[in-house]
Amino acid sequence: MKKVKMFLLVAGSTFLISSCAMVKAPLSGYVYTGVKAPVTATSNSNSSKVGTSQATSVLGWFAFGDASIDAAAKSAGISKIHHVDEQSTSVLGIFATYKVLVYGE
Amino acid sequence: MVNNQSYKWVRLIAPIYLILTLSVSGQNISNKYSSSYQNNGMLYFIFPQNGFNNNKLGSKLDYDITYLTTKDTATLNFSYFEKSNRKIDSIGFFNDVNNITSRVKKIYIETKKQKWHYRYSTQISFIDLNKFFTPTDNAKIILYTKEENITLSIKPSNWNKLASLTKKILTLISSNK
Repeated sequence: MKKVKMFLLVAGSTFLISSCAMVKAPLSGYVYTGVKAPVTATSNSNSSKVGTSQATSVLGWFAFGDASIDAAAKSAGISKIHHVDEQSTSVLGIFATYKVLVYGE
Repeated sequence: MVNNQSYKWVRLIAPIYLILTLSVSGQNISNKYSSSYQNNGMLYFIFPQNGFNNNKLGSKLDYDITYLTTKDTATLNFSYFEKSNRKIDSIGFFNDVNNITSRVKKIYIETKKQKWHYRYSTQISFIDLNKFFTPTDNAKIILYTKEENITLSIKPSNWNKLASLTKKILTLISSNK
């Protein structure tokens, strides 16, 4: 009985830990992540427009959204991309968001 | 023994609570906007904001703001979600003191699940933008279409938070002009 309880405890903990809402970021914190980082840059000069797209994860169980560069560029009517940044946020592995920011004209 | 254990828990939980409080704090504006240095000034982008909706139509509106410090006008891009197919002509921003109306330009129209997703853009002077983002009780956005005028309202408590936060970002932008 003790072994079964131990097994359930380990299995449950593994499930909970592995199911945390993690987000793509160059640096991540287990309690809180709030990191902005580069994705890419082009040789196009100057930006006058900014577009954004976002995807969200809840508890690592559900993940939804369109965080593509295309969606971000489209949201602001950008046809020439200057550079792309990403912004990752995660709180206690419960809630995580991944934002893409596209700068261009 | 009990006191030691309690103290241990407080020491463990306090930093987590502090981090969460700081990160979720209403007036922490650093993660609400981005800035980028350009040849012709600083380009600011205020991340999408929401809260305006029309309960009768089951519609909602999100918007974001882009502003280049050398220009007089800011670009406000907005997404409007509704079940009906419409053609939006212009947009109005109203509070207790100011009325601002501006023509809109279509970026794209798509369908998303059962609703239409209208993506439009408009230009508003930076001064007018400052006037609109003032904590008041009656902030509303009106979309002018051929069929009817659609009024989108926001809860006063939500608006007070949103307006204060945006005002702080706009003040920061003004300071850097």
